[in-house]
Amino acid sequence: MFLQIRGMVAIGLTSVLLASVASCGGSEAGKKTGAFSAAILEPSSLMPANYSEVYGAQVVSALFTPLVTFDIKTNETRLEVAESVESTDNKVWKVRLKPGWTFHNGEPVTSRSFVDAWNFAANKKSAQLNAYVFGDIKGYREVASGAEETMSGLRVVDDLNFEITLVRPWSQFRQLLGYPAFSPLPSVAYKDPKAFEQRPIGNGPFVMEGAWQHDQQITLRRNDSYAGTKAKAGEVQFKIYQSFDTAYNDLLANNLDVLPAIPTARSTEAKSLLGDRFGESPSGRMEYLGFPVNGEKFTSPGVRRAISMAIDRDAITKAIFKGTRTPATGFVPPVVPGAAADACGALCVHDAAAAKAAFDAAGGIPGGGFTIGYNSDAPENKEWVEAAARQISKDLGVNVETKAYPKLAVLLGDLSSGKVDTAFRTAWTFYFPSPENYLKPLFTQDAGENFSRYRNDKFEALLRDGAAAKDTEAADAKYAEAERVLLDDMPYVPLWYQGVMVGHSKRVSDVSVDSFRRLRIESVVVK
Amino acid sequence: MSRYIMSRVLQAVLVLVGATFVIFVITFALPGDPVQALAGERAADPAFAEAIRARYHLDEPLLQQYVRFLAGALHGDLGQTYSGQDVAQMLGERIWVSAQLAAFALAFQIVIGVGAGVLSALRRNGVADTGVRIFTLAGLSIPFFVTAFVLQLVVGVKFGWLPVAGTEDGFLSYIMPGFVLGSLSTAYVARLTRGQLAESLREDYVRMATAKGLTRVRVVAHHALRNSLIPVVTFLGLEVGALLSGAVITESIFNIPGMGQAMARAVYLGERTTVVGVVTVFVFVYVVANLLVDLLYAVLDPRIRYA
Repeated sequence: MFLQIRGMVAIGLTSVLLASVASCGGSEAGKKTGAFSAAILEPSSLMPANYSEVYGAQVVSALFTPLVTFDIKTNETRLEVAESVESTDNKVWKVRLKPGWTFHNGEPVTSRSFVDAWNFAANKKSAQLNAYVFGDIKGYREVASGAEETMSGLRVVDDLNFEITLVRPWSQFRQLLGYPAFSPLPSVAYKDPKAFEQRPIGNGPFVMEGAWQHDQQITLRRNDSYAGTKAKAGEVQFKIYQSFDTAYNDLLANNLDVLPAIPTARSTEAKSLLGDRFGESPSGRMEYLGFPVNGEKFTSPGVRRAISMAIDRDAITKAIFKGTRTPATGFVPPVVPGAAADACGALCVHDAAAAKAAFDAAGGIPGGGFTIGYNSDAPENKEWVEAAARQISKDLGVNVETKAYPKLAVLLGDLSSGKVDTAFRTAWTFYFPSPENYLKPLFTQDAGENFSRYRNDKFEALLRDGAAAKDTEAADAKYAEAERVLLDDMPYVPLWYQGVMVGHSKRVSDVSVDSFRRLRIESVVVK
Repeated sequence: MSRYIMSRVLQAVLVLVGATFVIFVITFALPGDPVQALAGERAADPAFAEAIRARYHLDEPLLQQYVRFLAGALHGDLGQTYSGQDVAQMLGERIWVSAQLAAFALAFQIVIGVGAGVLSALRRNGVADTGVRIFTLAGLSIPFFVTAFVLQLVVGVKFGWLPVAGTEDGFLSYIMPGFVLGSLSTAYVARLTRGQLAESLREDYVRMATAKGLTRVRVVAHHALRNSLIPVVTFLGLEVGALLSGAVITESIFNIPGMGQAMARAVYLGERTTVVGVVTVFVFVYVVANLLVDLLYAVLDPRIRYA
């Protein structure tokens, strides 16, 4: 009997081993001509209105093309599926589509494809994470609450024309239309959204090849009947990693073609190892030190400005971030068209004497010291928060403590519910390239992310003026003015703008990453 | 014997229910709101949070959620991840991946562990024995994630002999992670085999077999080794369960889409359904492995009877 069992175990073990030998072969995408591989992390969703991070955006943008897109260098808005997007009053927007756009299954892209997709996304039953971006369309509230199925502000004129009515004038709405959540969906999407998400059918430059293999890969093939500028590479294999450290090793071992986010810890080494196959690009992400402005310690704008001047952004970005982040010079990063140059001026430059003088003039901090809360699940947070705390403590002569939250979700949850009474680390990434996107969602009184509970009527009036402005220059002037008000009040201290480091293999060229930190896969050339 | 098995199966059911309940309660204590975790870097929109809570019944009291889970599980429905994947289906795919990894680890333990142990016992205090003892000491004392990173850099990146990560190269992909996962216990198996075999070789029946004129190979392989392997087999049986569940770190380092990886992320995201689903499978494997080992005792040693 012992022998029999031993035999069975042996047979079982051998068969498992043999089966895995048989399944060998796997994907050969990396070796096919015209094909390359790129690293991503597991996307949270592939529905245009439901993803939460860069990697969802990466895949969704390859599969779907919205009405407008943004120039990779200047971030200027360019018409894509739209022939024109016009408004005379910034409130009623008339969209005209270019004829000839189709989904990957052959269905033509019409006004309905957009209107139905937006109504679906806004609907409570769909539970789409990014539904809030439709919030300024008339009738959004009714659809979001489940009372209505369609937003009254969306009106289909004919196959190629439709109208969007907003609840307020909004000059920046054309830019918002480039956010992937505004992508069209084919009618098949609504029949079984869950199945659709595993293999979305879009109108973008790439077609999904096979289903989404969770935590393994997503393979895309070039859409040869794409109505826009066709992609250069024939096939892209997105390899899904748990961490980019592993992906970086894979790049060095030549098993990966493009890594769009080299870990900071490996940056120095990567620069010398990869040479001209290493690149850096700026992005629209920035980081702040925030204050609960109604808390007793932080009510004084003078104190907040003093803290800003006590932080040596230069030293921290060089020593801790290895130059991958650049010191902030305002609330709007330079990658945004219309951003004011060096709006912050001396307030964002380290000056120990000026900081101390401003601090004393403002009467100091009640209780003598304060605490900075941060989430410790991001690798560099602990390092820089402690460094900043030491600098502030030294320059202002106060005791600065730090408090670690185990996860970002915990910190964000506490910030949302107003439980945080300490200073805190926070970050923001734009979802459309306009100065307004760095001001309104963070610092207006009814914004969901106004973690500092800041309120300034003059600031909000300026934003309203910008939204009603007749042209871009007039709007940008108003936003610049609003930014100055904000800098004077300093509810958040702008710290630095984040860049990305990208590395690639010898097989590919023309590798670029846009300000949304998406690898522009359509322009990558396979040698 | 069948009565014994019956009572053990009943116990197993109780263990399963108890374990899932404990895990279920623990997941409520995980820090952070799972809905906020879904929203990534931004604060979750209240309307979205409400919709998700309603969809996954997160607004219900703990006990009601647990009963709902239990009722579903009895029908083979382990629920869905908060991003909409079917947990049972996901585990069905992943358990196969983890099983392959465990099989490779087990194969390393048997081949290298037992092999080294035998070699060591036969050449006691010789060069081979000293070598094996040094290697097993290293295997036992170096944390396995250090072994993992070093192998990944040297074998994968520098020499390119084996794939660095992922599973797309089929069985080649499993060699390095399988070795790393099995390394700790391989050392243990080698030492166990060495000790047991060295003892057996001094037994009377071995001397008897040699006196009968049997070849050295037959004496060692058939008479001495077979008897020495009893504790080793017991250990390996329990090890199967440990290998399946112990792969959390190995799977993450080598980017292997198995159960451990799913578990690690689910814990981070506070995704109750996945955590409980994975744990249910782990508990099941442990219970079955335990039962098999207990039954194996009776097979290996006729003096043990389950009446």
